[in-house]
Order: sequence, then C-alpha cells, then structure tokens
Amino acid sequence: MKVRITRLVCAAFMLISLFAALLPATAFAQIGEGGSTEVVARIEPVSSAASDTDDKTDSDRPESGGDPSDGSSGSSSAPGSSAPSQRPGFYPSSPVKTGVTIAWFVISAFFLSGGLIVIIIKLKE
Amino acid sequence: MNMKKFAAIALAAAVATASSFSAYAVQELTETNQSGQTEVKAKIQGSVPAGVSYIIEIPDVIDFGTLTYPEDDNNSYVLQDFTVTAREINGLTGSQMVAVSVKNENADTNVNTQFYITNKSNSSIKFTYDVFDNDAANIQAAPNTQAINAGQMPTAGYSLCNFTTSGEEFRGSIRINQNQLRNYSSVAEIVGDYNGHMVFSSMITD
Repeated sequence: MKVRITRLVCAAFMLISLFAALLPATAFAQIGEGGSTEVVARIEPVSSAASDTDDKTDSDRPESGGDPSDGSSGSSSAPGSSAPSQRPGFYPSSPVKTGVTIAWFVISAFFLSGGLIVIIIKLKE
Repeated sequence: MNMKKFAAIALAAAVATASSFSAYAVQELTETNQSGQTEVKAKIQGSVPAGVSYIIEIPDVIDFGTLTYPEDDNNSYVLQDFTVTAREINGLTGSQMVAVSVKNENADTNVNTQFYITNKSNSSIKFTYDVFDNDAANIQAAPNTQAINAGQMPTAGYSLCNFTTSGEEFRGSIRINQNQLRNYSSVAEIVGDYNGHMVFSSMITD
C-alpha cells in the first residue's frame, strides 16, 4: 500500500513538474495579433565618430544620394561622403523556437526518456 | 547500481532538464545580444471562419548602427533591410489574406504618426525614419520611392504587406536621414543610444 502511494505521489509530482516546466514556455510565446520590433541606433562623440568616418564604404549600408521621399529640399550628397561606420547592424531573420515549439520538444524528450528507461528496465528483468 | 534507482534518477534528471527549457523561451535583448526573433501568432475566432490560424515572424531588432553628424546640409541616408515572414498560414479561403500593418509605438491617427527613434537619456531628442515596402537596394536605386508612412495613418497602422501562403517572405527597409542631426549645433548634444519600436499588427482581410 505504501509503495503504491509512493508511486502515485512520484507520478503526480512528475506530472506537476512537467506542467510547471511547460507553463512558462507556453506563456512566453507571444499570442495575439501584434508584436513589436525595436529600432536602434547610436551617435558617438566626435572623436570616435571622426575616426570612424575614415573607414568608409561598408557595403551593407547603402546610402541614397537622391531627393528624399518626404519632400524635404536639399541636393544629393556626394557619393561616398558621410559614410558612417557601423557595428553589425542587420540581423537576418532566422527560424526561432517559440514557446509552443519548445514545449513540444520538452514533451517529446520527456516521454522518450521515460520510454527508454522503461525499456532498459524491462530488458534487465 | 540498482536499475530502479537509476531509472528514478534519470527520470528526475529528465524533468529537471525540461524545467530548464522554459528559461530559453524568454528572449532578452541586451546591448551584447541584440538579435532575436519575435513570433506573432494569432487565432481568429468569432466571426472569422473557424480553423484560420497563422504565424507571422517579424525581426526583434533593426539596427541603424552608428549615425554620423553630416558635414553639410545635404541628404545623408542610412538604409536597413528587414524581413517579415509568413511562417504558417492555415485555413484561408477564397480571397482571404493576412494583412500586416505597422506603426510607431504609441502612434495614433491624429498625432505622432511618424516613426521615431528617441535618445535613451533624453527623450526630447528624436529623429524620424521612414519605412518602405521594398528592400534597401531598390530604394537606393529609386530614392524618390514613397514611404509607406507618407500618407495618413489608418488606425491599425500603415499597410505593409499581405500574405496568402505559408513561407511567403516580405522584404522591406527603413531609412533615416542623418541631416536631422544638424538640427543640433553639436554632436555632444545628441550623443548616446537611440531606440524606437515599430509595432506590427495583423488581421484577416478579403
């Protein structure tokens, strides 16, 4: 009787632990109709910015020399002028594991591990 | 070792490992880790036919890099590409599509309709940037292309793109004119880190 209760408690504990493990993963998966993208930039003091402008022509940072679409006046900038330096600025999109995907992997890993252990035990018996 | 003890320890380890996965579901953007992805998932219920679901992937961060104080009043643009991807679309029928719109954080239809990046140390210092529904190379080739934020802003934001099938990819760009920096007499007034947010929204339309 005691053994049976112990086993039930262990099983309940494992299920609760699994639920607790999965809940944050799924909760942090953004669900809804919107999301936001942060746009960042930096302006550095003149001393470092001046030395940076000597390192021109970053091929990933094209500059437009024409009139702006917002209609503001001003002639085109000379090609190659005012070419700012840059730390890596563009992070290409890449597949990402969401909370739902992580939960799926966790479930799969959990049951695979459990199944594997059961098989090993049965083989040993 | 007793196999049952081993099994108990292994199962406990499996559960402990499962707990650790939840930590990685939380994305933290820091100064050293600025890359990442934001996934937007939605399920449409109610008046929309049941079974419609989609996952649209948007970038976490777009970085203009280090801006330079121009030497003269000429235009000095910096362009950056970004990609929006329809990871999954299910259940659309007929002419339905997933429409994606974008607007600046806290924008409304009457004021603040433009996109801004704001100095993190001094929120009164702001610079505007434009969003285009074309990639940076094409905008550079055709600099008079109208930005999507050129007209009046609808409530949901400026229309960016539409998706109908899974796997579709949209490539847009943002552009900032560095001659705005010359509104300030010296770089010292405006040094620092800037950030802003583009808020995407999506909906099913016909």
